[in-house]
Amino acid sequence: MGLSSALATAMSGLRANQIALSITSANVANANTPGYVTQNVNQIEVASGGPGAGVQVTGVNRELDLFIQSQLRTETAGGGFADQTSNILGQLQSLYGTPGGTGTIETAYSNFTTALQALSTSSSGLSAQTTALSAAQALAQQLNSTSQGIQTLRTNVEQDIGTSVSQANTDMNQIASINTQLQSFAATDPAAATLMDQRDAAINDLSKLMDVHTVTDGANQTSVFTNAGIQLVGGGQASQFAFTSPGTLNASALYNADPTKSGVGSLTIKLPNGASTDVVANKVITSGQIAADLQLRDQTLVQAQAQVDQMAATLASSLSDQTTPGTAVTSGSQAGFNLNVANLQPGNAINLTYTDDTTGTQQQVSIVRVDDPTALPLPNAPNANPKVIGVNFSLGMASVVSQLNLALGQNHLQFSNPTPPSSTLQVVNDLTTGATVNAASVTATVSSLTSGSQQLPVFTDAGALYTGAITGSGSQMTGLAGRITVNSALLNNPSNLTVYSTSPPTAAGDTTRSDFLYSQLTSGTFTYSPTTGLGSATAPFSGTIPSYLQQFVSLQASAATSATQLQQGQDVVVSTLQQKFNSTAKVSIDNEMSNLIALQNSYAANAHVMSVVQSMMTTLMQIQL
Amino acid sequence: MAINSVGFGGTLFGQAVQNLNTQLTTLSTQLASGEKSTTYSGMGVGEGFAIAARSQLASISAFGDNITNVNTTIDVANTALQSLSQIAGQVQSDAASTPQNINSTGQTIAQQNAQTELSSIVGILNTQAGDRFVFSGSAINTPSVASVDNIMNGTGTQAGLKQVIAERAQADGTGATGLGRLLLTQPTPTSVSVAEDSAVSPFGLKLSSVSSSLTGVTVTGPSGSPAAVSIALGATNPNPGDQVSLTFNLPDGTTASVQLTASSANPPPAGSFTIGATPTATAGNLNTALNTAIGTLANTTLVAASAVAAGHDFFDPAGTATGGVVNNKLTTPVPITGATALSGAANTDSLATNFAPGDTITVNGTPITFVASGATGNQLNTTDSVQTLLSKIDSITGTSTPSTISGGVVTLHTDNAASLNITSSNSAALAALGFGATVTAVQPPLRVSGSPSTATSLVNGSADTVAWYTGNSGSNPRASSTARIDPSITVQYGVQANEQAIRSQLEGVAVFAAVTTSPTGANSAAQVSALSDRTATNLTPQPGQQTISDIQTDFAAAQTIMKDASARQTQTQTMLQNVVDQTETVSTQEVASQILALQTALSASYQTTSMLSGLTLTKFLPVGG
Repeated sequence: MGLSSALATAMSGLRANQIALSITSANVANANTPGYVTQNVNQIEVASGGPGAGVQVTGVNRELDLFIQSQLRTETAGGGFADQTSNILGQLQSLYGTPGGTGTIETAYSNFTTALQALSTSSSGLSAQTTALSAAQALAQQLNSTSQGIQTLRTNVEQDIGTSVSQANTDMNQIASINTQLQSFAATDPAAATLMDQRDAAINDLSKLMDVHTVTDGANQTSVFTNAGIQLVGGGQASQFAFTSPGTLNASALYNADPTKSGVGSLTIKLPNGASTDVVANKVITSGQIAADLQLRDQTLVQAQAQVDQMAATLASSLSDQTTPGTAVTSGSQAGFNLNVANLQPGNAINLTYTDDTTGTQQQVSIVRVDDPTALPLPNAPNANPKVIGVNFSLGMASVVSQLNLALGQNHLQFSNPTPPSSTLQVVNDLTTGATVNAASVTATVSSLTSGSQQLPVFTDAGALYTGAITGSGSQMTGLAGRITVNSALLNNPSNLTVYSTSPPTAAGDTTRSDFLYSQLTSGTFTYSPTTGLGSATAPFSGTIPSYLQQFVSLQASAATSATQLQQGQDVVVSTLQQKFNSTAKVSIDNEMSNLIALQNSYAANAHVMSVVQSMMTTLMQIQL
Repeated sequence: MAINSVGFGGTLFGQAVQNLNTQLTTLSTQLASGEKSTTYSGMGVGEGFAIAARSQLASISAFGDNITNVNTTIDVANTALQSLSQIAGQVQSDAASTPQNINSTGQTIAQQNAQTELSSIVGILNTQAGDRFVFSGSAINTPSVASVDNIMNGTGTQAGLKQVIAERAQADGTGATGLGRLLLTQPTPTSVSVAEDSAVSPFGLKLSSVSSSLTGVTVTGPSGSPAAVSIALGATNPNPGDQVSLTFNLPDGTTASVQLTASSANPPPAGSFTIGATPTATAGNLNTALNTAIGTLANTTLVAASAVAAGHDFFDPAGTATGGVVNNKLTTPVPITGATALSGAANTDSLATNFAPGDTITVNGTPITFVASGATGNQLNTTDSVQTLLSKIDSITGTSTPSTISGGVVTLHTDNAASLNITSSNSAALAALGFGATVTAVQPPLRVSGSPSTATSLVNGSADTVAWYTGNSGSNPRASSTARIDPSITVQYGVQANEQAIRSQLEGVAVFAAVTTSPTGANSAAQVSALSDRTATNLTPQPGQQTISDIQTDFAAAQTIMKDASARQTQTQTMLQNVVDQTETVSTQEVASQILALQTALSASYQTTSMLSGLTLTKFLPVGG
């Protein structure tokens, strides 16, 4: 039955052509569908029992380069990280305002110093005083709004973590459910190809959020892991992220490894076996958008806040802190200083410089009044200079002396209270004379507007005196930029910008105080905390307030610039890989068209075979025997 | 499956086109605003310098404002000082003009003019520059001098200049019977004695010298305490034409003399005495003639001198500290003189109690130390004289009037009574100079103590006398207003109406205007003439005393400093502005050419895109193939 087998073979050709046509049409239709991978038909020849063989379509192949795909996913995670960082740092830049324009800390600061300077020629003019105070208010408000902006950004980032986490959960569930569905399909099943496209898309989506790598087993089950090795999807089972956020963040809401002390949202991952792991503490996620969010929330933006807080703190302290040198005392071989610590407030410090006679090195010690025992002892970086020592003054001078002797006795320093119950603290070298006390002074915050000294609290911490107090819950400096205000007593009495004494009364033309304020703000030198990203614990950054402002704004500007550059570079890498991936996986219309011509021709040829068979059959039938 | 947008965006080419587009937007923003960017990060690496430069620019502009303000104040003060000079010159020439006719008001035309000019001076001294009273020192909110009416006539509870002059006139013993507080007696029938009524009293005529060409007459003195002069006739009568002359120190520091000529005429012509039959009769005649002559002096010149002295008492912030009468160590003690040594053996002309090496006298905080010999700087040899000590004290107090010793009474002068304070480690030796433990000056304004006609001292009259100067007194008037005009330069531009140059002008004019005489009095013309002479003299700057042009010179120096600083700042400003401009602004031409280049690139890209999209097989397949 040669003819009928030829017919059957031609039929199989037509069928195969139709299937190939439908794949081609699917390819053309999905040419612009993201994630669609070009398919081509798998056809085999089928023996028909006689000469000649039919054709059969066994399935479809997805044309993709697995190596590039995994490379692309790694870089996509990097791209997600860079995009988010650059985006948020760009927004942070807009908080600092247009350089030289209104609405920048820099301009507000210049306006304030300029207004103070004007007091020097019209010290008693109410208008000049009011102008100076409004400039001070503008500066405080600028710091407030910058601080608020930074916290808004942190809150946004926190919310973004929440959104990203639920997106990741969706993706993981989808991957798991596709894995389950794929169990019932052969790998070359056209339906399986579609499902695999979907699974790849879900994994790609996930790779934007975090760093992933995948393993596909023989049963076409893809497992997803983070680079840290935590399993996100294992076959048909997905892990789940859980994120609980307090909502709005403020400057004192900081991450702490101890969940009871942490002020920010906690992110955990629950594995299919029920075990739960803290994502942040265990560094489960090291790249992708979520990692960027975590870094911004807990480090970058916290540092930006610390910078403006430091600015606010230095601004307040520089105008209100009075440093009184100690009186030299000598007794036999012991020499040192007497210090009056009566006015020392929590956060204020005794500054001590001594030379270790053995090594010949000079060491500075800052003895800070810390009345909250839970904050003691204060942390010190190794080789910190000045070394910070917290002392509880609330228990009386005898306790202060014993605390100090305990802390600094081994450094050959001896503390005493020579005339109790006075508040005089004496520091001398001890009898072994292993150290020389070079200098000692007391820095205390002035609270009165008319104390007779040049200092006055121009700025307050939301109405309370700013002394830099340290308590168990943190430093008063944290978030100060958001709370700093101009002293309301001063607003009620602007003349105190020049009047520093009521008895004897300050003369109207006396510019002592306004000159002091101006010189503190323009040429006074201060030391800044290493938490601002400037300087280190052993060599803290020290300079005038304008130079500090310049340093930290430049620091932020260059951080934003390099983040943008990184993001652009990463984008190029991702695009190049995508291009490479597309060169095999993406539908080529030209290919499909030429396929179409071939199919058309092949179909026509098969059909012609059938028509030939039919005419032969007809010929056969018409034979009249 | 998440549907991503259909698109072109993922391709490198698409991204490149997008980049070009973004760049084009950035460039057109730059072209429109002239600024490189609206954020710190967009400004590039030089932004740190720009921030620093901008803060310096703000500070320079503040300094510029200060310079303008100070210049305005100085210009106002200069104009005022110029008018003051002219007014004083006018009064001076009025006073010097002759004749001086007294009209029905008891004053001359010149005096009446002086009253008007006094109002002008007060008006000028209360000049304001902006909200600042220029002549009030550091009390810039307070008018510098009291009103003319208050100065001249006083208030209900406080005496004015006219009352002070009247009281002083009484105390000085003016008038026909006053005899200038001198006592005329005849201790023996043939002698005449003229004695002061008190050794310590500052009032009235003070004996300076006596000389005689009277034949057979012995004149002695002035000697003793109170000082006295004795004219003792011998056994013979003087010859006609013989003369006796007495010279007096007047309260204002001038001298006047009385000269009597022996005459045989009876009654004698003016300025003569009749030679009697016996020396006893002649002595009686001499006594009568002296009485008349001194009485006339007391009613003419002394009136003017007393008024001038009262003017000093009222206006001058200078003061004196007057000691008691003390004697030396001679066996027959006599009052100490300038030549008396500060230490010495018994029966020598030395202080009753010696100063010893190591003793100190502290003048206004500056110690003078006694050494045995070889004194340098602020040291004195114990063998030095009282006069040397007074010179040393004067050099420390910086007084413009030297301290004096007369009749065993030490009078220490100071230009600023408030500041004088002298103590000694050897209070007994200080007592030997006539002083208590602490020497202070009587605070001006000075008033006659007790009943004027018998008063012997001046007391602090600040409670019941008008304070003509209502500003603030500082030891250095120029330093009462200072302004910073450069980071390291301050200028001083304060001025006080009680500075010597200004005060002496005001005082001269006020005294001249205050004195009223009887239109019909016999001595009125002489009184006014004596006053006019003194006014004309006193309004002329005396050598070694401050003049108005001295103040103007100080101002000119300040203005020169400011001019130099201003020129320097302008240069710096240009340089700093360049730094800012180079960092933050864009060159229009550069941006325009960049835009052009981008435009070309972009249109080429679009062209290529359009061509590429045409190059697809689809276009070349026949429809319905």
